[in-house]
Amino acid sequence: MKQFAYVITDPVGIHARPAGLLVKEAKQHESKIMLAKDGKSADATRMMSVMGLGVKCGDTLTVTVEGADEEAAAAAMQAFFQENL
Amino acid sequence: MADYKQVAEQVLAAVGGKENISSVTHCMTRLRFVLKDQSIPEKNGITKIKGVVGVNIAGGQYQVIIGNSVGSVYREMVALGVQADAQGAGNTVKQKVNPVSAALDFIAGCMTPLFTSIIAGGLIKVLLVIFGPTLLGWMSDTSDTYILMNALGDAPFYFLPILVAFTASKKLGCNSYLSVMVAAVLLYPDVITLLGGDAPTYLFGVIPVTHGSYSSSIIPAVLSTLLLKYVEILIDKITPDWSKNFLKPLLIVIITAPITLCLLAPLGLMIGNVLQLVINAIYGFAPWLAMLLFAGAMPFIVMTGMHWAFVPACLMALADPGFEYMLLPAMLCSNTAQAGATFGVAFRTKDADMRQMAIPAGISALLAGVTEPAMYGVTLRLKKPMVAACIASAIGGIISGIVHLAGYAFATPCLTAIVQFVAPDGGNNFLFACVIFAVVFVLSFLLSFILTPAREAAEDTAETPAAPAVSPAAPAPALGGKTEIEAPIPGEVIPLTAVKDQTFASGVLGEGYAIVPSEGKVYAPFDGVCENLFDTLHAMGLMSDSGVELLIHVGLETVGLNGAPFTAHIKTGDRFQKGDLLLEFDIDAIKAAGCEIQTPIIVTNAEDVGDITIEGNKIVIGG
Repeated sequence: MKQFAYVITDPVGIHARPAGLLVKEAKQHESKIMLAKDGKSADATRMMSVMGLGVKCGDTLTVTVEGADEEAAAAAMQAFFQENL
Repeated sequence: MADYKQVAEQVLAAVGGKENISSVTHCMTRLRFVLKDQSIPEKNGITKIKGVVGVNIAGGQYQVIIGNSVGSVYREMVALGVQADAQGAGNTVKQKVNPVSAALDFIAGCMTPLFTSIIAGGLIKVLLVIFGPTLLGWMSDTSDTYILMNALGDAPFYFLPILVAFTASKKLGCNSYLSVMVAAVLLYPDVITLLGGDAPTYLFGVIPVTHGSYSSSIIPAVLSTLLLKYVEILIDKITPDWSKNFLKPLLIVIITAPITLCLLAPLGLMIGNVLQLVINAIYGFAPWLAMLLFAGAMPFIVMTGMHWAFVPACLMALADPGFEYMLLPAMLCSNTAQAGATFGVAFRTKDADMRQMAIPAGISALLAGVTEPAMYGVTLRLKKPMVAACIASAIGGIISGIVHLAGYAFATPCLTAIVQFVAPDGGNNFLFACVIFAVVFVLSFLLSFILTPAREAAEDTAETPAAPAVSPAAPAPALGGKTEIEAPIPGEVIPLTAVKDQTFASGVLGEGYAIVPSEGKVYAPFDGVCENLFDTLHAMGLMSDSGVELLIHVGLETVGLNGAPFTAHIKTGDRFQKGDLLLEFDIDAIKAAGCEIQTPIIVTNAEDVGDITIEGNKIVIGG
């Protein structure tokens, strides 16, 4: 299992558009990717679930990656967050 | 030959194991689970299991459609340790069901288990008619054998209240023995004499007991069992523990039986009579018209389970006056039409997979009167064969209405059961049934053969080789795997690719379309829950009761407006009904702020619910 934390810098947080990109990215990996914030967690491959977290600018998100390709998936997710959020 | 044990094991694992099953029953084609947590089953996983035709969620039941071999799979499932008819605490269903589907489910649950005895009894009576004096004359109707065999055929009908009390108590989870005991009073010989006599009857000297004959009735026993359930709960609360063994059953029956005799049973008879009067009135107005509509719409009635509502009235009619001229003839037309249309596809299609599915599905409809494989596997999927079947069935209905075709015994109408149309007094009824059968079969076969393009049939199936007939998420008994979502906002529909935002236009978020609103109002396009309303109010995620996730994103880049032009009428977590006003927005203000007004409407979980197509202003899922 791989885990990392990320502080959102995008001024509007994870709204619909970035959520869609995030889901698209997460779906490319075999590993199960979970996002957690303030005790709530969400399956990163489920759009509604990701948006339901209500992630805003400055929030800290914990990303957990577990599965066969977790190394690569975690690295890719980290890159994705830095680039987009 | 499929390995039923393997199917049972796989289905069991997929629905979350024994622990998640409150109860399981089966009907002709489906395993009907009541699950503790309906979210556990893997939506697509189950339909991929070899031997499973599809999945359907209705009336709080998780139905796994197996086909004709459902009985064998069910037995294997019970052998695996799943408790059939599990009762008791903890089996509350999480999903709320609407009253109509709950009522239909209840009727179906009360009637389905009885079919074994009712069909056996019905066919025995048919055999007696054939061997009896009117037809072959091998047996006199006063011979001992005839009388005894007639009693065997009659028993499930005469004692219907007792059978119904039993199944209803199972369904309601109350004490079966007490429920049967109360219903049995209605058929006790002395009670029959008393209530059939001329002198008024009084209970405790003052309470009048309405006279009536309750043999072959259904509703009185249903009502008495319903009452018993609540009396049982009440008595259980007020009786002290030490007395429960003797006081509880005594109090339950001594309260339930008099109320049943004086109030519920006469009320049940009245409801039954009114039902029959209504059916007679519809039929009496114009038999051919009534039958045209009834037979033509029968596939859809069967899909919603509404046909169950007619079964009690049908059984009552078979008891008195002894024949039934609506449900049975309409089912004959409809089942035959499905068989014909399915064979039409089998002969027409160039697609080997489709043919392989169509032939057994057609045989099942033709010889067993079980049409689900035909409907879900073939006719609905290709649509045009369904049209052919409906037309043929409706024409069969017209003929049935004109010749007043009547069924005389209860069985699922099909070729093998067509003897149910043999009239005890001879006559042409049976001949008419055979003619109607032939006409409907040939007509539906030909229409389906002509309407189904060989090529399209092949393409359709090539796209979805093992497509589940009904996706677990599709609501849809009514549409059979096809869900239509109407535009939630009035305005002009434009394709997603025309949206001036690459993220939406590229389909990253999901498939759908966009609307250029003519009015700043978002209405709920289905019954469901608001999964997520953004703090900035510019977008919302909706989840339909059937599992479709819909994202409505009002305008582009409107997240930056911080909610100013929006007025929300719901909040995250709220339930809504189709047509409710969810959100209002000020089109001019959004434009004035420099934002685009194009509003993408997107299904975000298409992979779970099925392929998306756009038809006019509707998003069509599956189908």
